[in-house]
Amino acid sequence: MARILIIAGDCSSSAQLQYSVYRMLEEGFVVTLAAPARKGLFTVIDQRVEGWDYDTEKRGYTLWPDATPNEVDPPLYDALILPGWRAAEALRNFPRCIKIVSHFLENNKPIASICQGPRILIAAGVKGRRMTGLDMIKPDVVASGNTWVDAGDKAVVDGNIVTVSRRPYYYVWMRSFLSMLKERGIAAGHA
Amino acid sequence: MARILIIAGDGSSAGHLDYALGRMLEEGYDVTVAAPVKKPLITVVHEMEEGISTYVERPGYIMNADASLDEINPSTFDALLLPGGRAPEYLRNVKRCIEVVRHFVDHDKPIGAICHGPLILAAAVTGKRLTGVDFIKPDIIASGNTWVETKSEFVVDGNIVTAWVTPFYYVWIREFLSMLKERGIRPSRAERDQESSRQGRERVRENAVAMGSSK
Repeated sequence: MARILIIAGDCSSSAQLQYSVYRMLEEGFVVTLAAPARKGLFTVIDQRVEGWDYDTEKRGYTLWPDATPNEVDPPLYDALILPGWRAAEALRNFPRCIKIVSHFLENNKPIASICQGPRILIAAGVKGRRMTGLDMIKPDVVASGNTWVDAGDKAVVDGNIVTVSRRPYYYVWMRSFLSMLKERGIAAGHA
Repeated sequence: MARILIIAGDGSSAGHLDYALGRMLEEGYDVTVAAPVKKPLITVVHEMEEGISTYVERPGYIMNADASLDEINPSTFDALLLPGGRAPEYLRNVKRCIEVVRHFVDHDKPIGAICHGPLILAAAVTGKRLTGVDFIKPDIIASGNTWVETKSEFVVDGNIVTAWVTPFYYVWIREFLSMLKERGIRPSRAERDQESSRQGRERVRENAVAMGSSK
């Protein structure tokens, strides 16, 4: 039975987190949602609206984590999902979070990220990869020695890493990630 | 090309609508979100909170309607999705909405509804086994349908799939897709890639125009 780890926190994007969690459950994978504390996560509705040059935030759905990063044993998992929005800015500062992400990088396990999520990959030392994400994180991608791709509605796949820009391309993101899992024989094993 | 209609409005559930729309695009269907008026829709987040006996509501994502209910031709669609939220309570009072839903009922085309979505079905069908959010049980019974207590599961009666509440979107859509597959309603791989790319781009562009945003 394949296992998927999703790392999120307060201010994760409500829709990115929900789409990835429920998509993995729909497929029949065992999903662990890990966050810094075992409490209801305050996700946010992240959207650019009229009059604002950058996204606005409203409170989104509350999701309950299954574990804290300290309780997660990374070798038990086959793949990793890093949803985006502002949580990623905070999560990259947690040493345990970076340690977990490093496990997936070192062992060439599939990683899917979107929006600001790639900032966690950068903090984990990813270099020389082609990546995309939220337009506003381009400086971080470039400064860390990675290559920024203006991907629009396409997924960027570089080795074991799938990145996608942002809303509304959750479906592009998960389709590409699921296809990578399939290619590598990581199957849900339906009950 | 397999075409899916989603009926939504202001007050549709952000979670239901986002997941339903995203999943249909992921599969490569040609999707139309229709509302009473073609405009950006204000979706909502409904949640139970401690100390409050019913759900609370907060504003969710702004999602575009692709068409008004008046301008769509239901016979050009293969299946229908009715997300929940508070919208169904007023959508069932829109005559054209019920007319459109009846087309899918009369032609035995797949219909998927969740949470408050079955309120719209209650205004259009009788004698069906349905589920949804517990609060709508009186409406299901009063309309001559049978209420099924499911929790976390789905109910299938002929061409109608109903499911419980958030977070069981995946149970709902998994069963709906399995019904489409059984009936041979599937886009080809080429159609999938072309269609979802086109529709994603259009949604971003339309949002930019509608909201005057920089993206």
